[in-house]
Amino acid sequence: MKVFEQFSLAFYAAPNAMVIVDEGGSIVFTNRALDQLFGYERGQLLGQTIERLLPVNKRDGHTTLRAQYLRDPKVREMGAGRSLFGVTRSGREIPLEIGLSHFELDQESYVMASLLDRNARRESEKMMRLAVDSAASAMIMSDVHGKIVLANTNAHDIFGYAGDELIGVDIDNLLPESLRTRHKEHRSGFSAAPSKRAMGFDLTLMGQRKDGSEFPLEIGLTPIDSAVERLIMATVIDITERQERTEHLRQKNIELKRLNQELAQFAYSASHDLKAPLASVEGLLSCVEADMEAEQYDAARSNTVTARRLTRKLKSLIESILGVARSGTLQESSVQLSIADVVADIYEAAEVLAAQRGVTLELAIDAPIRIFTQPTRLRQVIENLVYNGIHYADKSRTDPFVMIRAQRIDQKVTVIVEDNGIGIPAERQEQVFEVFKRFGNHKEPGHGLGLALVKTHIDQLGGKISFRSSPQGTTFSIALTDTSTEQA
Amino acid sequence: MNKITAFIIDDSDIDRYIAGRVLNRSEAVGGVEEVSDGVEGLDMLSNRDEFTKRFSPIPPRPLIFLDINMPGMNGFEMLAGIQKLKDDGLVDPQQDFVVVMLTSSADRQDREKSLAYDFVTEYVEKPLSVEKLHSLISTTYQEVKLPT
Repeated sequence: MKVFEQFSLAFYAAPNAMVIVDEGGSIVFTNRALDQLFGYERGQLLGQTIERLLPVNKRDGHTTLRAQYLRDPKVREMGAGRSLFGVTRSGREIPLEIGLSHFELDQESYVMASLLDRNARRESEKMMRLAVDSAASAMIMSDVHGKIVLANTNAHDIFGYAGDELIGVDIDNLLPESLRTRHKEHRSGFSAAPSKRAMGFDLTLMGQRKDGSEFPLEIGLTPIDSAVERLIMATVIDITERQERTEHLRQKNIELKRLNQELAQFAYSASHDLKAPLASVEGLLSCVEADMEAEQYDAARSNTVTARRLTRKLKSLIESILGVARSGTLQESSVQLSIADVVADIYEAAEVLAAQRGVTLELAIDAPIRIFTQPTRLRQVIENLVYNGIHYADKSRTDPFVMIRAQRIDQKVTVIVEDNGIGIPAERQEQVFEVFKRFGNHKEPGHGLGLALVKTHIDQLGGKISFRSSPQGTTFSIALTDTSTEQA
Repeated sequence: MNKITAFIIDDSDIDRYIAGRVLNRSEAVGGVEEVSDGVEGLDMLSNRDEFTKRFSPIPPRPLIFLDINMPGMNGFEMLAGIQKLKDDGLVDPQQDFVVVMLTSSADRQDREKSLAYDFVTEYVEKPLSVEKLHSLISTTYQEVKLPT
């Protein structure tokens, strides 16, 4: 007994509850943690039988078990797999985990039991569960057979399972049917030689929700070796959104590249088309200088006239380029417009030119068609198409015409501009809406910007433009949506 | 010593007029021929006998001014055409003519693309001036003496 007293100081303060009994089952030592766990004063349990700490209905059985243990004493857990309970001084049962060891002193056998309050352990498990559940990614722990032993809320959410439904489920069920067999093989491979790694490398991995739908995911694997078994923790991230964002960015990138190319082409064409007449003007002015020196005033005058003509052309080109450049960002309020009125205004302005070319301007709109849209854009669209029709009329015809029709079906308004002119060469029709592309007679005024402007306007109005063209004529068809009811 | 015959290939009437004025003022130049597109120009080059007759006496080699931006066959297409004539042995630029680009383009790629042809001697930006003309004659023709 003296020895215990000597050791008691050291054991007394230990954090684990400990109790030592002799061969007869009498308690010879308890530490403070045990006294507190069971609600006794210091020393109060000494001399009592150990069964005092057990529920009444377990006491008889325990006496037998105790004797058995002493015949073959090993360090072991008590009651493996079963729930053990102790009973406190006040009669409350507490769940316990108990480890046993045996020692001899002065030819006496003793058994030491260390006790762990499973309630306290449950608390810490609850804490861990909370932490795992609040993790941003889905976490699924499975055993080496693929059975899910733990899955957080996020894991249930992304795979479409409720509550704790995933526990006990075969992890292969979270994969599309077609991948399961292969995954089973990979899984046994990983279990045999586990390492912390990402799954699938650069492959896109797919998961399957409870409802059968599939989604892309990313998985990290970590082996966890507990004392009892090997577990595998998988961290799963649903990458549907990320993939969508990536795809969106990729599309934007393609679009930007295209715009950049267009801009480079525009800059090249614009600089040429602007520089060429300017170089001519410079050349002509040198000629004028020489003419003046030689007192050739007629030549000087004629060259000055040409230079002025080029300057005017340059001015109109600059205005057109600015028009196209601004057309993308033109801010204008929509108003109610009558298609017939817009066309009438344009026809009035084009009358003289049309008469010179012998082109008849026709308008065939039965019922008045009104549309709520941006006036400048719509006017410039129709204007450009009408002037193209006049400029590229077929001179060999006796009846050249430009004809405008319009129709309305629900909110869809279609304006058709038809001519029987020379048409757009079939092999160039793809380039019709590109800047600085000209197809017909270069003696006609124009910079190759009109249809580019038309296209920008139509795009900005949210409409569509298409055309048919042959050497017998060209028909442009504009489809617009009347937004007036949406506005109202 | 014979004077150089110049040959302008350009779709712009005005630019042909301006270059023609400069060329006609130079004492090194004996005559100016002009066409308004590449097809016609290449046609003339490809008929070697007629070409040499028309531009005789050679040497000095006729001086071809070629514009880049032309409808129909542009300057680059024409250069490719000359290259083909050369490859087929139908012309010999070393003996038959001198090609100089005369363009309003200051684009580096246009310049490099032109000078990549070994028979293109110079790349001159419009408008042509007496100074530019004389500078290119003095570097290209040893046999022609320029007025001082």
